[in-house]
Amino acid sequence: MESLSRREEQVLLAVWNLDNTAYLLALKDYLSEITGKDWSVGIIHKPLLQLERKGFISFFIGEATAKRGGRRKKLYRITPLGIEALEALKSEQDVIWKNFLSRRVLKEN
Amino acid sequence: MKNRNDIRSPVFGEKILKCILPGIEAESIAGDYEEIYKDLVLSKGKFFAWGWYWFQILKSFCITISVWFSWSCTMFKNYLKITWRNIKRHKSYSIINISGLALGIACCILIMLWVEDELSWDRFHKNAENIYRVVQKQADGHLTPVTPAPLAGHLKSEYPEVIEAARYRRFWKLNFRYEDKSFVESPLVADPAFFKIFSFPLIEGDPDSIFNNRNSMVITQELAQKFFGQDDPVGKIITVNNRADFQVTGVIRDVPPNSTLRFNCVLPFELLTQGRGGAGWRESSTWTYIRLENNISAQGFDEKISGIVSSRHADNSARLQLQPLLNLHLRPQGNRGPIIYIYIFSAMGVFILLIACINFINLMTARSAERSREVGLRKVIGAKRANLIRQFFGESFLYTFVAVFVAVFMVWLFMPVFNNLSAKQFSLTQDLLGNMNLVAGIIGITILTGLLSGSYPALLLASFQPVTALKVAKARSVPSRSPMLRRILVVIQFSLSIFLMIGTFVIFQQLRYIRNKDLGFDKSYIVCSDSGWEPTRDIQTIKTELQQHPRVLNMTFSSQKMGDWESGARDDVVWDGKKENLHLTFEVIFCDYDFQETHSMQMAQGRFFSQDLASDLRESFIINEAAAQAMGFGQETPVGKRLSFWDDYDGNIIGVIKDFHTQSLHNQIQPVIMVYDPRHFDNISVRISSEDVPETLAFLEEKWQELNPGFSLRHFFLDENLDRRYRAEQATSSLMKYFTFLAVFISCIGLLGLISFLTQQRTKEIGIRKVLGASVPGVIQLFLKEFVLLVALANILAWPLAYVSIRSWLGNFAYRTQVEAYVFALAGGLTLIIALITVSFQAFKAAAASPADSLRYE
Repeated sequence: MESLSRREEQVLLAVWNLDNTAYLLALKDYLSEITGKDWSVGIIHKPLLQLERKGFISFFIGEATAKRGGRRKKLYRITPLGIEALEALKSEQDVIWKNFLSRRVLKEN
Repeated sequence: MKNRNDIRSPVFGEKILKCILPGIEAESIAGDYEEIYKDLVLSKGKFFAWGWYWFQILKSFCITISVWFSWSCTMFKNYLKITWRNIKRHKSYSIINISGLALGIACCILIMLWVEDELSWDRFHKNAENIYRVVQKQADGHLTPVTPAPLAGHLKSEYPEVIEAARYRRFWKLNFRYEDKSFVESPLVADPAFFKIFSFPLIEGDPDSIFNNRNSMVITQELAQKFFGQDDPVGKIITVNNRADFQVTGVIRDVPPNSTLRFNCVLPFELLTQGRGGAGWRESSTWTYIRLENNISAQGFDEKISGIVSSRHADNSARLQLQPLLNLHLRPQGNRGPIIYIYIFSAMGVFILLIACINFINLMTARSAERSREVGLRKVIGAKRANLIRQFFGESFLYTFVAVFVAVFMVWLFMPVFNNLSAKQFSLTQDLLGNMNLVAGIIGITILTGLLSGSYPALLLASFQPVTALKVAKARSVPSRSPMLRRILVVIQFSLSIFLMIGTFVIFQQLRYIRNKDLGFDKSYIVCSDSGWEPTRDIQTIKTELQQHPRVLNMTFSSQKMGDWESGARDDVVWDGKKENLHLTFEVIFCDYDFQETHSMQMAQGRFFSQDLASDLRESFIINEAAAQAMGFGQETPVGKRLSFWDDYDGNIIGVIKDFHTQSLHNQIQPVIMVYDPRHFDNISVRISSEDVPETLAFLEEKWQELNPGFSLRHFFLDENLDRRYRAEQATSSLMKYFTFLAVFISCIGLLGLISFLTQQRTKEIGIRKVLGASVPGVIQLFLKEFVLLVALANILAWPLAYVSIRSWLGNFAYRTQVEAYVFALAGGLTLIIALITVSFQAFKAAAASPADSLRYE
């Protein structure tokens, strides 16, 4: 399984969180809100392409809405492989963070 | 505040997105953009949103282009590399391919140069499209370029469409003298409007007053240089024939080589009418040119003027007609004339290029089997059909580019030879690369050749199925349709070669026929000169003085030299028993009593002029057989019949001379009237002995100077001068010879490439055959059989086509050689032998190889 970059991780998690409503702009708003920084469309688009290539997300075509001038949305959804990747990342990180935190505790003492 | 739903993003931007992105991507991105756009309009204003939107579109557009470009470059680099490897790996095929193409293209470039030059004649005149020559169309369809002298003035004054009208006539040879320098020139006499119609730029002098008085004279730069060197020519006085003085009032730039009008100096037209009153509307001896308004159609104007002459002069049945200036060089007689050489050469260029392209196609398809694995692999990796087609077209274009460069180099190399053959002055930088038409032509040839030669290989190779292409261990067993096509192409190639060969043979035969045809007089060892003599000198004295020399056999005077009577058409001749509606034009020859003897002509009836009979002077006429026939005498003898023309000639016919050719053999023999009248003598003809010619010539020159001080004898041999009339044919035929040779050569190197490839492919087969007991001749026969059949088939195809074409070419000549069957057999046999030699050379090499080696091959 291919690994995830930090940005890919963020986007993948956002897709998971938005759950079937994840399209480019929703992701942008969500990520901007969470991180407090302004994410541009281009910065999200690139990791999305990578994730799609790696098979962690798939897309489906949403409904047309008047908000978008009658155009349909390209919605992203996390795949089982993507969930697996997130889980692997999480467990890996847990180990790393654990050690990190215990050392910090020691150092502070 | 604006309603969010009313805001729409720019429609055109979305269209661009749709071009760049595939289907749903474009739609969803456009939707996303529109949402952002709406937000921006609401938060930062419409202008900012609009700017943002277009910035996004522009950015994506740039990125798309750069991505596409970088990938194209990458692929192109790959194609180049593969092509280069292929060229290097198969050196001999590549050399054959490129050199064949280069030769073909070089031929095409040279032909283009030639054709472009021929088509450029007279185009340097500013109003060339609106300048017309007025000609008379005779009842038999022949166009006579001369018209009555008053016509030009009449047209100018009566028809508002005519902007300018001018007449001119070539004057006889005059001796021009300035201080100690003298030259003999045949000037034009012309109206002042001559320089308003034609664009012969005046370098010095005032354009409005060049011909203000009767003694004005306009000369070319070349002549001015000869006479005055560095001095200012305007105002200088030149003495003509030791009698009259002319003042130079203008100097024009030298007449360009591609002008049908050729002259060195122009005198006022009045000079002509000074002596004789002129025959007015009855005599047609001047050339009339007019310049029409821009939008006047020549045809419509034709109808208005066609009857002008015949209404004034009932004996003249000819209709006036306009002939465009631009047609004079290539179509002097309607649609006949040198234009046929333009067609012949253009066809040759196309044929040669086609032959070269066929070489390329044949060699590429023959090698396609080798490339099949490459194609298979590319397809497996993901190349689409279109990519492969593009690749192979690219390859053929690369070959073509290299070939074009080699071709331009070849053109540069062979330019002097070509100039020599075609009697033209081309230079590579000026005439080829400096002429936008020709540069465009070369680019056109490049594209055409690339497309033509790449088309079939590209389509064939791209159509390979990857499974078959990869599965078969040895690529040669890939099934392909190429052999049939290859055969057809070889047949086409050789048909074209045979066609060109037969054409060249016949053109040569015709020229030989012309050169050897009995002209009705003996043209050998006749020295002619038209350089004039001291006007006060009695011609009888000149004759006796010159004939003192033992090797001067005979000598005569005449109005013009043999072969130059193409202008003096008279149509006002009346004779006994002339039918009412019969209209004939005659050539009138003024000649001495010993004209017949000097030229060894034969009389059919009656006698020639005699020196002793006073009545022979101006009052007796001799006609030729053609005239007797045309005048309707039939079995009756014309001798003793009365005949008169103009106002001043009236007398009896005393003899009929056997037909002789006064014009080139393109034309029928015209009716001729001969008159003994020394007033019009302008030319001498001396028959000399064939022994020690240089000494005789030296004597003639010396004696001439002595008798006519100030006049040098500019002489030439009659036969050479007559041959010069076929110079166009001779130049074209020698060019054709070389082009035909090249066409055959290119076909043969193609065949050589093909056969060497085929023998190589069948190396194993030959080995096995030999092991099983096949003999060397047997193996050679294997290869020969196919090609002999193909060449034979090519013959059968080419023969009827060639026959039809040469018949139509020979139609240009009134007197023509027979089309002999052996020419066809000869061309066929020659190609067959050349093909056989080419094929057997390679076949023998393959057949003679030891089977042990050939079976070990791989």
